Amino acid sequence: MNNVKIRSGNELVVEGAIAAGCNFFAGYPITPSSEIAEGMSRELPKVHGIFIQMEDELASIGAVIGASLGGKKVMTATSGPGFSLKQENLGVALIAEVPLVIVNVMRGGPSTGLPTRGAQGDVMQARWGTHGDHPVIALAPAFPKEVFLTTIDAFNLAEKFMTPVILLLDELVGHSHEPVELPGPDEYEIVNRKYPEKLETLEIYKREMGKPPLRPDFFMGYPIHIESLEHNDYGYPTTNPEIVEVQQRRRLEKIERHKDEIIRYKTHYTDDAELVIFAFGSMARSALEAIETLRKEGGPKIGLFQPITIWPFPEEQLKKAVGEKDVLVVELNWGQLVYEVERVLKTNKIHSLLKMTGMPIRPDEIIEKIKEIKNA
Amino acid sequence: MKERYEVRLAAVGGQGLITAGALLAKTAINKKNLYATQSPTYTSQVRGGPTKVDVIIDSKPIVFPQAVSIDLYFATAQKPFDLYYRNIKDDAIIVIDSDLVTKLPENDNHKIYKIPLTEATAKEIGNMVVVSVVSLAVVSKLSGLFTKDELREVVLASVPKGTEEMNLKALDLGFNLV
Amino acid sequence: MLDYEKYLRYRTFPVPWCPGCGIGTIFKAVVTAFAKLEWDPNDIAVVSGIGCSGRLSTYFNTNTLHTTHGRALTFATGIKLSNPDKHVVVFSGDGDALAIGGNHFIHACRRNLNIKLIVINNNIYGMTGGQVSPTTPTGFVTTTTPYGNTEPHFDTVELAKAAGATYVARETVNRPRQMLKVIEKSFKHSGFSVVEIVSNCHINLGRRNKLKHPLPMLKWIDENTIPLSKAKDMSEEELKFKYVVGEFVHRHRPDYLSLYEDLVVKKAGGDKK
Repeated sequence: MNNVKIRSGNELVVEGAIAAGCNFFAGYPITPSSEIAEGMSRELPKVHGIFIQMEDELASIGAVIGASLGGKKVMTATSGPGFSLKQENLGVALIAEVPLVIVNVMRGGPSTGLPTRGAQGDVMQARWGTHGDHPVIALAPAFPKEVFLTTIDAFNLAEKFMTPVILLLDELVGHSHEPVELPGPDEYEIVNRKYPEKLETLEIYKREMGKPPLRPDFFMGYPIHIESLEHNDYGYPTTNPEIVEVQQRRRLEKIERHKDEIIRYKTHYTDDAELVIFAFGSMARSALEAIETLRKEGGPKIGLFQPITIWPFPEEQLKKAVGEKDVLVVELNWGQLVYEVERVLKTNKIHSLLKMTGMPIRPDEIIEKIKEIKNA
Repeated sequence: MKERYEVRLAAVGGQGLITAGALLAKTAINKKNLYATQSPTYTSQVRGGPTKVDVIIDSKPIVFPQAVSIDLYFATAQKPFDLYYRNIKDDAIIVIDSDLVTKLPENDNHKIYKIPLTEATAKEIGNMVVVSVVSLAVVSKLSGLFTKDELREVVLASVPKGTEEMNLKALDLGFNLV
Repeated sequence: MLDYEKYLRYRTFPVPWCPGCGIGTIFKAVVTAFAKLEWDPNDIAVVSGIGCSGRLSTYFNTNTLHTTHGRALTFATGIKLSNPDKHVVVFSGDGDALAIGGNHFIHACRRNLNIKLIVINNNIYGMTGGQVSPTTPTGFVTTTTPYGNTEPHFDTVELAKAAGATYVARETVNRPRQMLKVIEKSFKHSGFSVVEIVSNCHINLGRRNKLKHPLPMLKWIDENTIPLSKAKDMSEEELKFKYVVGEFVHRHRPDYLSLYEDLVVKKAGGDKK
């Protein structure tokens, strides 16, 4: 194992962000994500980037939106309570179409909940946390190398689609220290923001249906207006229903029409499986361990569908991978994505293994559940 | 070594067990060319809260980084010992600080090593900072995972400048305590 | 003649404020200060929060950003940190800056980035229909204090001073020349500046307090205005509910960015890249 480093998931987010070209971070301390802010405070000055610890969570996301408009590649990181506080300004980034990466290292909730214990209870908050209808991209890596590459991916998608991207880690992924061979620059792509070739129109939101805005940053010599109110093509406030509909639809469609480009997922042992587990993050790892143990012991052949893109939900990909097979959803909450799976797979038999005690669902618990399903 | 070896270190926050776990994983990776993960579970009580760290060492990549079938359970305080006494194999070794873990479960049939870890560290070294290295040595010797030479290099590369001598002394102490 | 037209975004006119509102006078003073200092509109970012003052950003033909309630300073912090050589001007109201955004206000003062904050204090939540604000005088009737406001009010100047702002001044819409002077001075100052402008909301504050037309409301402000030079000889009791106007603080200390560059980036070795 040459070139192997020992890294926690949180440390890999820092290294992925720097590799992606992140040059601005604003944050606020919160368990279990603080190592990301600590890492950024150490690494950003080395590349002449800016780090600032703001006075609160709301200020942190405000500052990264400002810096993104000022031309930087930006990130902030938090956990449940902080993610709740950030929701209002997340809406600004969605309506004004401002690229940024927001990391949520999920912990047990609601409220202060279980600060040091892992959970996967924020997936619906990531989807619907800020008010109103809006498109969302949320990614949830599971394995060390995946954390590094998905962080880079988060920046790429944010810049390409001019939108905030939510990176969901769970505590186990964020805090486990593991060996990882970090990919070199030739193993990933870096996407930078696109600008209009000529600065000739103030209509910065005038784009074909389904396309992100193509606009200058602040101070590029063009007096643009960025608005938290609903706005017209110029970005100026409007309540005109026809214009509102066009803007709302364009923002939704820019994600909807590019789902294939945005959705990342992995399948493990699905071809010969009699039952497919649906799990992400740490639970995908627990499931995979259970699957491999069962196969080694000559037990039932189980497969795994591991979404990395949680939102938009990988509907077609899941359907294709699962076919008519039974599905077992394993998630570290009392049932969130299981409803999405049920919505998508209308005729399959769907089982679920749900738990939220602050401790992970272990591989042996998954094996037991599978045996229970088989014997039923 | 067996194909896979799982160690759980249980302590209270501040006893340096997360450091010991990190050094165990590091030695496995750097010195034995094995795969290893170190996954902590702790509380928000920075000093004194029950803490555990699971170290998994495997010849193959590790899929799930928490212990499910523990080969060696090491505990240096009663509360964490009770809390994290689970998923322990029948043929596992249990190692406890003889002064700080006094109540053992009834009907426990594991091989138990009672070691005066804290007392010996205080007496022989006089600085509790190095109790993590003493623990590392104890675990390595009882598990047969690593030799003193293998640990020495990793410890020297990891400890703050100026503390090398004290840490090497701690390593010796740990190997002699068993 | 001053070339002020280049700072106006005519396409978004007419402005939304009630007839007789003091915000127009403040708008004019800021545009005039830009023109006097000959700032390039492309080098200016105007950021605002929510409320009547929040609408201002739309009408400047500069880089402009309309944000969320109370958070304008946080966005401005990101803009300034990412573009240290550009001018960042923030408009906030009394509710925006001192209630929902109070935390950002004090920390921006402490941090001392070169950002220009103008607090338009009309003593009321105007846009939402006249609810009590942190600067509403005690005893005043508002839609949420129908029996009179029982709470004491914040003093923007004292708050800014204590929190560490390096330029602090107060003026009223009745004194346009003095207002222009302190705005211009704050723009020239290097560091975080707070200029509070006391303005009139005859519609949603005056109406319920026997000041329902612009003139009586402006007169009421005038009667309660005391120049700093005079206030020095007055007792605390005499100054109760008075708007002391003038320049309160003009001091220098290093701002976040220069310290970051000198102490952090250099130590990390980033200056060599």
